[in-house]
Amino acid sequence: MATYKDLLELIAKREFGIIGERNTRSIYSSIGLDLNGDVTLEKNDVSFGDLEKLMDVLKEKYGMVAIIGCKIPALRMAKQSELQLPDVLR
Amino acid sequence: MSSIDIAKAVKIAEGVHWIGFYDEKAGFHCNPYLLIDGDEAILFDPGSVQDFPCVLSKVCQLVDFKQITHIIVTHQDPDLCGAIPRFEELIYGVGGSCKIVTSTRASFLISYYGVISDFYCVDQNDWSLTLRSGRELKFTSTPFMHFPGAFVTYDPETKILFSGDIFGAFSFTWELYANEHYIEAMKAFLENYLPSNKIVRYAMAQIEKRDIRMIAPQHGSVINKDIQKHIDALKGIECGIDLEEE
Ligand SMILES: [Fe+2]
Ligand SMILES: [Fe+2]
Repeated sequence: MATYKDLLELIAKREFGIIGERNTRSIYSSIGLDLNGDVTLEKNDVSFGDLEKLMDVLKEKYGMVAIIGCKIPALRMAKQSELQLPDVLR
Repeated sequence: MSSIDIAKAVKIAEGVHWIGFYDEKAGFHCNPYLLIDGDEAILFDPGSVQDFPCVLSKVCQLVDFKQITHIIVTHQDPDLCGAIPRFEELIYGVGGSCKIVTSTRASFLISYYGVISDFYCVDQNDWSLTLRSGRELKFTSTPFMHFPGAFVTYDPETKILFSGDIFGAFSFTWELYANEHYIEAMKAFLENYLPSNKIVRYAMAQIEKRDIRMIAPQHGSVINKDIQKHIDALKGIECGIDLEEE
């Protein structure tokens, strides 16, 4: 079963393509989540609240393109692992 | 960004130019292209009304309006067809004329932009277009990618595949040529606009039959290396109805 940590790592990989690697790392850091070189999160206790925060910052800075662009893989993982998603990703 | 000056038209192959507009703040960009063959010029997916001033300035750097004999549009969306009437005004204004090259299905809808040119429907013309020089452009049907009558254009001379929305991408850190993260950028866009994996696989099987050196999509970046890797990535895409069926 996937966790919120897996989900946020999946979104990070996707955002490397959409907003770029540097911008993704900086956005994650801004909400207290640092990404390692292999696009894994340093922190283990990642929650739904972190996902919500990430979506808020992405939407504010880049608009819905950055959200829609990661929606399908996020939906798939959430469905398979019964993870809750913020409204913006549903 | 590399040293390429994107404020000007950029030559991507002999006689083929990228003539798009890059908006630094946007995550979605359109790529019109101009193919020049002797005294004839062919516009591919010329773009939106918003991008028209920039695209126009790049066309002016390269050809006279009279030289534009064909405008190829893969489907009827406004991000590629919006500028057609404006180009027609300029082409016909200097005594030129052109044909709109598209599928019959798309032609019915494109008429509503108020176009004045005749249509050259690829499905009624053996899926090819012969230019004055004898050079032939080949079309391949890619149904439902994402419009039912969608098609791609292959230029055997440069081995470029002009792919329309297929191989397009979302990107805020756009570069003219695809980088190592392009597959993710491509999936980000196409997962949202393509109907199903089965449809994508059919299109990829048709596309793979061509000897492709470069893919020039209507959004995102030009793919000039690892062509098969990008085709394979799309073969694996889950989109549209796939998620509903799981
Ligand atoms: Fe489209
Ligand atoms: Fe498009």
